[in-house]
Amino acid sequence: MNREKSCRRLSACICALGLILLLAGPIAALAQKISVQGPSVVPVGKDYFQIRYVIDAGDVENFRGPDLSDFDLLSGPNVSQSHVSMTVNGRHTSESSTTYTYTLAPRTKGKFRLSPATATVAGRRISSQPFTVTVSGEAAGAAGGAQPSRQEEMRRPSGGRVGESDLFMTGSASRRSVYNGEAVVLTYDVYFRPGIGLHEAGPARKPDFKGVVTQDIPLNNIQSRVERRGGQTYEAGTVYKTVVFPQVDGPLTIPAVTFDCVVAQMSPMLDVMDAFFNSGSVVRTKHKRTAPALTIDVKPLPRPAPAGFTDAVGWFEAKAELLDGKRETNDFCTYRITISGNGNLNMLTPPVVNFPSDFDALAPKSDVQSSVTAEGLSGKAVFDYVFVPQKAGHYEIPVQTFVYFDPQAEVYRTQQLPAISLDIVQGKRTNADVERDLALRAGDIRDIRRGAAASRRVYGLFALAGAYAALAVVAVLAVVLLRRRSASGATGVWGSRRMRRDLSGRMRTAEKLIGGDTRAFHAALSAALCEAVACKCGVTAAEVGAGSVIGLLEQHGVAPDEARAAQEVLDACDFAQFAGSASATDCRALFEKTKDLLNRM
Amino acid sequence: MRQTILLLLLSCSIATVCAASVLEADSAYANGDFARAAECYAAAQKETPAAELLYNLGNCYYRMGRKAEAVLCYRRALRMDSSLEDARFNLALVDSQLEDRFNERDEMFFVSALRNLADCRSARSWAWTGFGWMVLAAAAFLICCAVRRTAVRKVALAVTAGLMFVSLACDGFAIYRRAADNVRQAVVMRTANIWKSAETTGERLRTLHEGTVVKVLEAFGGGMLRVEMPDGTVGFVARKDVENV
Repeated sequence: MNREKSCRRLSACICALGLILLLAGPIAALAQKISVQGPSVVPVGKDYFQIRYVIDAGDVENFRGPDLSDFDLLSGPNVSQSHVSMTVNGRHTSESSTTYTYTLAPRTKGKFRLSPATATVAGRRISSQPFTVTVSGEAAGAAGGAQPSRQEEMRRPSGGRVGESDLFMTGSASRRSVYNGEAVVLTYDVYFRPGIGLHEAGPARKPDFKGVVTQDIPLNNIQSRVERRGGQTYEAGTVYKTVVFPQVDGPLTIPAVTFDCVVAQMSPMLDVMDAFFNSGSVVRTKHKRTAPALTIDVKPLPRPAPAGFTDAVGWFEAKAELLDGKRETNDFCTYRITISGNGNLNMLTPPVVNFPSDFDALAPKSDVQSSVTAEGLSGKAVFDYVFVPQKAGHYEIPVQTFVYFDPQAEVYRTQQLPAISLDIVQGKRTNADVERDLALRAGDIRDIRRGAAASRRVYGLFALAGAYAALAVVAVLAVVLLRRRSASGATGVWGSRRMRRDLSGRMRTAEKLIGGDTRAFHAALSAALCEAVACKCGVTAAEVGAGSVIGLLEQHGVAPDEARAAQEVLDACDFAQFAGSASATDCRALFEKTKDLLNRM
Repeated sequence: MRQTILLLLLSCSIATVCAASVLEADSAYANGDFARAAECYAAAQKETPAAELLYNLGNCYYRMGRKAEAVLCYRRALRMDSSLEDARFNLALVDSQLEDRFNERDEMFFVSALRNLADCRSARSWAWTGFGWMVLAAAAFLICCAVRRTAVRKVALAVTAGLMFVSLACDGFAIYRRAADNVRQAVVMRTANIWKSAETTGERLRTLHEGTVVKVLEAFGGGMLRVEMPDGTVGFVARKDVENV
């Protein structure tokens, strides 16, 4: 009984498990779906609307959109994906989604049912719900099929012509009537119909405007806007902007400017073969569009211009100053005029400054710091006048005038720059110093070090190795020399410290015996000399005493007179030992003679 | 020995990688693209610091009209290698174009001569030179000990003494250069006021323009530095307006 119950329970568990496994797939598939987003009601006059198919998955394959033959397909499907990852309280979650967007335009009014879109997610085929769009109101453009629909234009093979009305350029000037030198901003805009995927647009070549000075206004990217022109909706953006300063009086023609426009077109799938070979790929085509020429009336400046007018047109303010620094003879001082404001800053000429006759003035240097605005250039122009005082004293840089033309008020304006007093003291520099500095200022910097690379570390290692090698060579040389000296042993009477110490001891002993025991004195003296000769010649003391020392010494490079002197001393010592007494004076003389001989040897 | 060989190989590999960006920089400079050249030199300088790269970077900044950065690069190059004569010339040229001018300090002519001589080379170069002279002095001393003739020994001894003196002089220059390199200097990067006290509401001593070099004495609170101008005047300048050499 119990066994039967157990079997039934086991069977039920297995069935339940199988059922779960069986339903897991569909349940998982059901978790993935395609949701449709878009307006359910669209007025027939609306230019375009969008339908989006959103799938909550990142790995979507084989997406098939609905049948859109009842609408004009302006663009699509445009694919976008998003992925969001979050970590909350240590739990990490992530969500992905893929969106397919169609941009459509209604043709006629009515109620239109969009078939389900399908896609493959994780190996399973999913589909959306059907979507109904109601187009209400009167139909627009019901003139018949004389003109091809936009969808039909888009169905042309890739490389097909984009119409002139679909993409065109315009040019405009901020002012049509200006004075000579007054700023005019030229703006070139591109207009394109929605659905024309404009990828980029720019001048085919840099425009060459005659009779003007130009300065381009940098544009980071095209800021698009929606505009209506001729009853049509366009997207528009500025692709080129420049400021021009007319230099010639009279009507000025800004020639037409040609632009290169790159359009990205979708190739929609027509049939199965198209879908296989070209599943909605993007094709980029280049189109040339020309902005029409512009005419600007350039009025001459009123004549006569006041004295000191430096072709400045705009609104300016000037100031003059003497820069901080030394005010010594034969040194450089700087007088600065700063003109700030709006206008043709880049065309200003340095005002003429009348320096005292004792000043040597150099050619002025100018520096313009400005930004481009609709009024022209806004910023400041700095003119530096460097001068070298030749003599000490009190001087004054006179009043300067700055004249400019105000185009708005149509009058010349004059600004007075106050006089500047300065005291020059006698400096230590000379004319030679000035000449040297002038040569330096007029010169140019030296050229770069080509191929300069990171070889310093390698060079340093080589230098270190060389230093170690030099030390090793010196050490080896020292060792070799010292060994040779000790091997020969005949490096001189005072060669070794021990020998010197012994010899000195014997000589001191002999000296103490002067005036005392003469036999002992002579014996000590003789022993000391024999020891020295033996050390010098590399023989034993017994060998020295056995034969003549003259020949022995001469064989070892001792001078003949020194050898004879050594023999004489030894003979005197031998005679004195046998003869007996000798006076202290004689002993002292013999001692000194022996000492001198030892020093010379 | 093994470490030396490894370091040698590593240096060679780094030099190879760095050489490519240096060549690109040289080419950009020759074509007038100084901004691109500056980028490449700066990148190469980060990989393997070298005085020549700093010198080239200074040239790029000068061509771009950025004199303060040019002065900074030249001074840093000379701090790494005082023997870079081109950097010294270019720095003098840029200095002649700066707005600020100061009275030079009075000093004895031989002091100036010695200072100019010491500034010709870096501390490391002087130290190596002194070491070389010392090695030669040791060799002369060995000769003095080895020869027998008194006259030769006397000459060798005199040469030894002379070489030791030269070696000590080189070591002295090395110590001077080392001390000079340790002096904190800063370049004014933009027009800045120098004040008598750390509070900017006090008396303004003068206005310093870009490229002027000051000696940094100490840092103060409130982002101020106590500095000494080339004419010896001491004042306070904002930290943000200067860049350390």
